[in-house]
Amino acid sequence: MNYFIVVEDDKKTQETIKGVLRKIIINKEQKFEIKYFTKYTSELQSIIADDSIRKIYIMDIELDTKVSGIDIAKQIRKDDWESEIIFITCHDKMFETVYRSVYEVFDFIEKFHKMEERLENDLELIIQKNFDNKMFIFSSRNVDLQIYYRSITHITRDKEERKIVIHTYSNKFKISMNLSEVLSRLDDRFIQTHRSCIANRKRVQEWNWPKGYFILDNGKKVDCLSKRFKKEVEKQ
Amino acid sequence: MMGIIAYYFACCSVQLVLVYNFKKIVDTEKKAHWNYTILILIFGIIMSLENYYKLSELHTLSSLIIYFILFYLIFRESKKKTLFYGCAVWFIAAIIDLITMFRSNWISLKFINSDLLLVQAIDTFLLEIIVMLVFKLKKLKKFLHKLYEKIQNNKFPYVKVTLIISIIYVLGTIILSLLKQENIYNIDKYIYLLAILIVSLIIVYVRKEYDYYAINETNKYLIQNSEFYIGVVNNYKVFKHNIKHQLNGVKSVANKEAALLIDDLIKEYNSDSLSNNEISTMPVGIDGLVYEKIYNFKEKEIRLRIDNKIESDIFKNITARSYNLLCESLGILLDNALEASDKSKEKIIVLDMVENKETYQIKIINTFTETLDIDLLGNLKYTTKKGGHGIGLFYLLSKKKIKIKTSIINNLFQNELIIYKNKKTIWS
Repeated sequence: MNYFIVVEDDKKTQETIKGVLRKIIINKEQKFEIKYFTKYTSELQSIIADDSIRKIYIMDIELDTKVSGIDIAKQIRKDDWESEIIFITCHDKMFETVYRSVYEVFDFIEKFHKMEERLENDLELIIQKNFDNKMFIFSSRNVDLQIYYRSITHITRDKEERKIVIHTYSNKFKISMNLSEVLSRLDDRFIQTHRSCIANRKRVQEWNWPKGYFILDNGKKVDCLSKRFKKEVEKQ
Repeated sequence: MMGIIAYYFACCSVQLVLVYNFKKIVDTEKKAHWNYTILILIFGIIMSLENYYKLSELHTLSSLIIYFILFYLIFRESKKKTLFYGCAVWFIAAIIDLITMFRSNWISLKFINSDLLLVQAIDTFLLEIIVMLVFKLKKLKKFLHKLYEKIQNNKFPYVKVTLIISIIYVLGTIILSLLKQENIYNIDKYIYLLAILIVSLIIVYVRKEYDYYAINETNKYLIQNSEFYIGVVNNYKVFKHNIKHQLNGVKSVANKEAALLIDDLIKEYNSDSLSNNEISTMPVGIDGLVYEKIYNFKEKEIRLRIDNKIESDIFKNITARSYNLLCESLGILLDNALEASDKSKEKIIVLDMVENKETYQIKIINTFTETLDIDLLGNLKYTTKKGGHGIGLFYLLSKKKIKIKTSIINNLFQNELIIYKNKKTIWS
């Protein structure tokens, strides 16, 4: 079951959102349930804590209470990085970029500027990508690491340190594990391309088997493609 | 000879048994430094000689010192904790010895013609078995933990621990005198106690007084500094406000090229992180620290977002020492966050401050572009900075009065600093 959670204290805006949601749900195979709130309540708190359901939050930033939409987003992101969050706002978007990154906000929509159209587009996109928010989780003695599968481009083995290196678009993380162990914890978008490399197929733009490399969607060339794994890569 | 050797081994095994019991009672998660068990052999010689030359006046004192050194070196718990639990373990063993005195009579009768030291050794081994069984009682462990917590939570914990140890010393000496059928009113034994008690109380008192004086002075200086910085920034804001208005005035009469230049200048003034009004919403003292830290990065276009939900007066809720620790920790974490976010494309830092009944929680979230070894992060000398440091996070993780939770979520580095509220505060 999927949930749309709407937190909006303005009745007019809530009605508009209702209309968009009805339109979105009507032809979908997936089952959706809609919950409306005007403020942070204990029921909302228990929905946030329930990790058995997939949720799309549509929230107003400026609620007429002490707890703002941003505070609710913080609450959600304490444990849940799989749900999607869309903010509806009528104020300036000074900190949009900051919040977008820090609380993984899908979009900020202005109330008075093509709100219906944008919300509809966003929701279609979210449903299309089928909640692609799975995370790779690893804990060391001092640090907890959580990375979205979708942000992992590839994983290599560091021969000298005998660690694996997880490559994302901006960072690299070294952890003590072996490749097969990591592969078993990932989903089928990840495939072994070399005895010391795993690639995220969705992030690969070009496979060059004769020259033994693949090119990622950020333009980076990775020289870790072995013909030994060609069958498996092409099979999937 | 056989008797001396047997007694020596009995002394060593007593120490081993008490070390084991100490570990069980303290329930420590720390790794034991078992290489120090070599000390057991040395202390065994001291205890044997003491018994051989019948220096019973020294017995209580030397036992307390020996066990304290042994427990402290092996388990590396705090001195206060080691002293409390060490004395408790030793004292309980002494009480068990007294209660089960009948066992000595029984052994003496069984081995009536044997060497006295050999008989004592057998007696000690039997006692050890009984002690081990008693220390298996969960209620005993629970009682000691509760007692220690009670002492910890109240004022003057050092004085209370010293008093409890003194009581243990007196009772222990009486028990040993009863066991050896000596005169319990022998005044010499208590003179040692009085001397130790007075000296330790004086040391503790002087140290505490000096610490509080020094910390209070430093805090006063820091608060003055912070007020000064806030004053400077406020003047700067007024100056900037006026300049922007004047520039807008000039723009109204300027040509197209000049107007564009003026727009660029105004944009530059607006992007300045020093004029971030949210800093002034932070608790006094911490705001100055944040100003000071971001001042060095004023040209770097770092986007700093502050969300402060702390409403109580920090100075009324934490001790001077905790406040210093808070500033020190926040300083280190901010330095790290500023340097790391400066290297990243997004250059974002979020300071999220909340409080509950027991703690203040400050979360520092920043973007970064690095290669990080997750296993080594937080270890001594592991660093991603040029020139190598790696002491900051390691140093903070070793502090007991604060908690730091480090996580990397969605390519964002997050450090949560948790500091506990106290009853005794800076101004009390």
